[in-house]
Amino acid sequence: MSSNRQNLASRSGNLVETHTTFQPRVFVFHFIFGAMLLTLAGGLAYQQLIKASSYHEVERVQNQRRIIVPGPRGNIYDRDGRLLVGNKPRFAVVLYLDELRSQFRREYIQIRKNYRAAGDRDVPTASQMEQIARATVVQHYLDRVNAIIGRHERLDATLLMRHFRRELLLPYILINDLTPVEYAKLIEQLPVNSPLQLYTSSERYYPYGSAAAHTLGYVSNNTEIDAEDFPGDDLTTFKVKGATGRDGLELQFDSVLQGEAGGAIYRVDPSGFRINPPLEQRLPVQGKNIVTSLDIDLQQTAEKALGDLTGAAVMMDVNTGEVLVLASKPDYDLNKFSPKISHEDVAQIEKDKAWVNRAISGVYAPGSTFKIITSIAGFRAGTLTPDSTYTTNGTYTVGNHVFHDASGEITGVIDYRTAIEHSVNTFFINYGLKTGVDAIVAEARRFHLDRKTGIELPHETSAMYVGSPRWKKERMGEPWFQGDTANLAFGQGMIAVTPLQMACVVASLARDETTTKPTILHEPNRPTQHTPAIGIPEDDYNALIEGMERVPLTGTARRWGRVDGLTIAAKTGTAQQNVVFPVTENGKTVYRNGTIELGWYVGFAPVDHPKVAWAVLVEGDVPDESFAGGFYATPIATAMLKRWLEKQRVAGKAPPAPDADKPADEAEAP
Amino acid sequence: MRVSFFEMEAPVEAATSYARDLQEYWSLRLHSNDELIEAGRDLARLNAAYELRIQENSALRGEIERLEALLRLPSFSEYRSEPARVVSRDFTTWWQRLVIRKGRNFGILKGSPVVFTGGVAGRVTEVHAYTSVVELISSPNVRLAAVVEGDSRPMSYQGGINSSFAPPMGTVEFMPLDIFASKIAPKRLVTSGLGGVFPPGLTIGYIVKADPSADGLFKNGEVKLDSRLSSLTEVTVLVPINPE
Amino acid sequence: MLRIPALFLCHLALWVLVIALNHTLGAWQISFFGCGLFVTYAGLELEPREGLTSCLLAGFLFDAWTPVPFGQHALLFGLAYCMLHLWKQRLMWDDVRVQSAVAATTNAAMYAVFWAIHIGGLPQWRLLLMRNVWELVLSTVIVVVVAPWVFALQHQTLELTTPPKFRRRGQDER
Repeated sequence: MSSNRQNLASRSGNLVETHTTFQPRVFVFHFIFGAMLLTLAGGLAYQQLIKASSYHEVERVQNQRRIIVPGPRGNIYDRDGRLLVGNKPRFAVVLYLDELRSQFRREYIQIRKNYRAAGDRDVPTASQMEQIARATVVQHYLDRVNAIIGRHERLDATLLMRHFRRELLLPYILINDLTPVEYAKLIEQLPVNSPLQLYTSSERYYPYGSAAAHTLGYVSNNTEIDAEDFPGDDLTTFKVKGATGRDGLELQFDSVLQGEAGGAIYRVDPSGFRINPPLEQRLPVQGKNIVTSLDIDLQQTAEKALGDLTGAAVMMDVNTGEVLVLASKPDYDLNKFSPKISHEDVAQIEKDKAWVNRAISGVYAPGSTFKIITSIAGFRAGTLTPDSTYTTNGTYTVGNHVFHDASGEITGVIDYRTAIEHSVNTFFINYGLKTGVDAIVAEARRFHLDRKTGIELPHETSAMYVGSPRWKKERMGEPWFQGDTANLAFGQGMIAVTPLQMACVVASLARDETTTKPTILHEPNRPTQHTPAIGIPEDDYNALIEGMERVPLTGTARRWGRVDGLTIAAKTGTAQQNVVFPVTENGKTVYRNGTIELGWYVGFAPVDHPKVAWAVLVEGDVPDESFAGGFYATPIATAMLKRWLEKQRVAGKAPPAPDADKPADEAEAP
Repeated sequence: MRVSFFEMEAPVEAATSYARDLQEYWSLRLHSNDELIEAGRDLARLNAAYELRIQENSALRGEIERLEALLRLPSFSEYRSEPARVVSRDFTTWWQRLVIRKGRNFGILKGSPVVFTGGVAGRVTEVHAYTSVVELISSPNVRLAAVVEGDSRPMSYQGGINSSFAPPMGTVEFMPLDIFASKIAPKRLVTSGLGGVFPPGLTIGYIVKADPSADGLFKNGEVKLDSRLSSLTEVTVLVPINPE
Repeated sequence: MLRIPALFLCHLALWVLVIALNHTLGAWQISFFGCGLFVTYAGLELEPREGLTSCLLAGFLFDAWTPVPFGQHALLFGLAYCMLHLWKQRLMWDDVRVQSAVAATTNAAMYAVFWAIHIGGLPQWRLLLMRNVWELVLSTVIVVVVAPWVFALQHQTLELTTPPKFRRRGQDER
């Protein structure tokens, strides 16, 4: 027993553990491990606490996609609320590809199995097989649609692949132009929860075709639509095509007409397919509507009267400056722009020179219509009075140049009113020279013939000018001749204006004022414009108006200018304009200089209480051919006036026609 | 397996519906003689009215046939009428269905339109040996091409939200902007006949609300359906004679 | 051997009643949801083999009659059975009031699951909420009221189809 204890004791001496409380070498390791752990913990904390938000952001950008859908554009109406430009629904059948993922997979497996079973050596790559699978599945759905609506559409595999690459989030459009019957068939025969769905988009619709084409303008596709205040600017965004104004009111008021874009943010899977439902969604909202001052009845009447002629017609409210008609020919059918104009149609429009809105962008010598300004300048300078007379033999020689009266019928002593009535050039050359170029130019500028009218339309020309000695010196480096003044006195030579400017001149004259600010927008209670008065004695003013009143009755517009039941003050004009025109010689097209004649007819009505003013311009289409202005331009204005009077009578604003109670056939009989 | 279970359950439910018919029969038998006489008179009046309608219809049909003969148009009726008793109604929030007591045994075809005295009831979605399942137009899963009476522009009708203790409702989409309807001046919505399933002119319901959609292209509306749709006991299946 | 067919017959009879009730309620655009009645007794009283089988069969009854993917009800019934079977030890499951309460709760939970599957994803779910609340209240009341009779029927049916020697101790006394 004791021996055992001893043994144990001796053994225990060997078994006693010795502990060292401080080991510098181990401490180093402790330090290293501690530092490493601290680094790891710090890194973890840094990644989890500090960088978490940025990782979350990266994850968000990677996994979320945004779709922007443009809002439909606002409508454009005429002054009576008739739709001039609206939106037409376009029905399409689309396929939601994100709902077909499992079908694509199954088809892929089947295709791979088929290739393996066939033992074909020329096996496509996995990517090619994937494309085949997708095209097969989509074609299967297209076949189903074809079977319902009886079409034979085929899938464009290239377009499909492009869609997969670029626009996977958007539904794939199978057929984009469904008729109402096809659309009805699909509504009834496609299951409600099918991946095939009906989709509507809008395209511009112009119920009156080419009417007021230049004024209304057109749109083109725009992929740069943005949704303001819609979150996710930093996300990959798919934009559905919208439209942006390219001309006319569509361009001028693009920001007003443009709808508020809507959108949706979707989470996507690693393949890019979207996961429903959307995380954010906002419906697009239609843009604001515009009410123009145009009267579509009058507009159509003017355009019909213009027919195949080249020219422009403007009619405006004398008091408010609201433009009732702004027609320009040749024109184009606006519906051709919807959804997209063809190259052939563009070529045709260019060939017809139909892009130009001649009412505001074409500049022309005003011809004898300018005699109104010459008269006022003479009255104000005291060189002309209502009793002024001139003895004419039909010609007037200034220097070496002999000026002729247009008709040559009026000779002998003529008074002022007759000079206006028959547009006697020699009379106005005589008094124009006496008045002097400075007074005439100053008067023209007082009526704002040297500047833009400021109408709310794009592309109003700034090429109009009223030449003066200084102007001629600066521009042409030549001195001013008496012949220039003689020319200017009857609206030729150093002057060019737009038809809208001339309409404004007669509207101002009708109010005995100097300027009229035209507007294309309608306001129901727009106040009468007030601008500085012309500043001529009443007798002088009355003499001018009396002369103009005789024009449609016994003067230069007597053949077509009369409108029963309406008193009219008007002035015709004919002018020459230099042009370069193509001629075919020996099978080749060469360009020659020549002149075309311009026909003007301006005026206002009724004389006692003026309501409308107009200016019509017609271009002669054959160079170097004589062209009687009043002959072509007068019937156009007369047609507008007749229609205007008719509408006034219907509205009870004008006394009924004397033969109103007769049968229609009888009343219209010539 | 589903079909097996359904076919096993169908006779049980059919038996229940027969029992219900029997119950109805006996409850009618318990009416007093006076009530029966009064009902008989009402029926006689109704029969007389129908007789008159039949005569009018036959005269009109004769006229149509004469005109068709004149124009050398093919004369045929596209549908065969198959009246059927309702076995059960199953109106939940997420579907609105009827089971009817006719199936393949009467040549009922899947997709056939189903009508009742108030207009369209729905369409056949399943056909079994002795029964068929009809999805009602109040069901959100039914969609059809409709027109407003007197108009020809098709719009999309779909079953809608059906609140408790209220008549069934539907919704209409893609309604032209110039169509106006309200509770005071509702517009009758009928089948367009363009969709290839339903014949034209059958009443779907009345549009009682029409609001412009947010995009301004169309209006969306609410359609009040016939309240009898919720308590149908008999319907007629229009089986296409020449199904495509 | 006969216990599962007997339970199935009970479920079939109960299913017929549910369908008949819904046929009548349909006139008011309201429906009764009674799936909880089909799983509670099995979940509380039966062993997994019998209980799960009878629940799955009852689920198939519903699956065949309704336009849902076949097996959806069966799966839901099976899950409900498993949950009840796992939690029953924590309940005084042999008290009939507790059984009724469990049936109502299970029914409401199953209704919520169905609601989430069919309605939850719809944009207009808020408009349906009122009707769903009505249906849930009605279904809960009916389940609470009829549960004791339904369970008694199932119990008695099992009694009849189970030879005395196989009965569990204490079953006779209940």
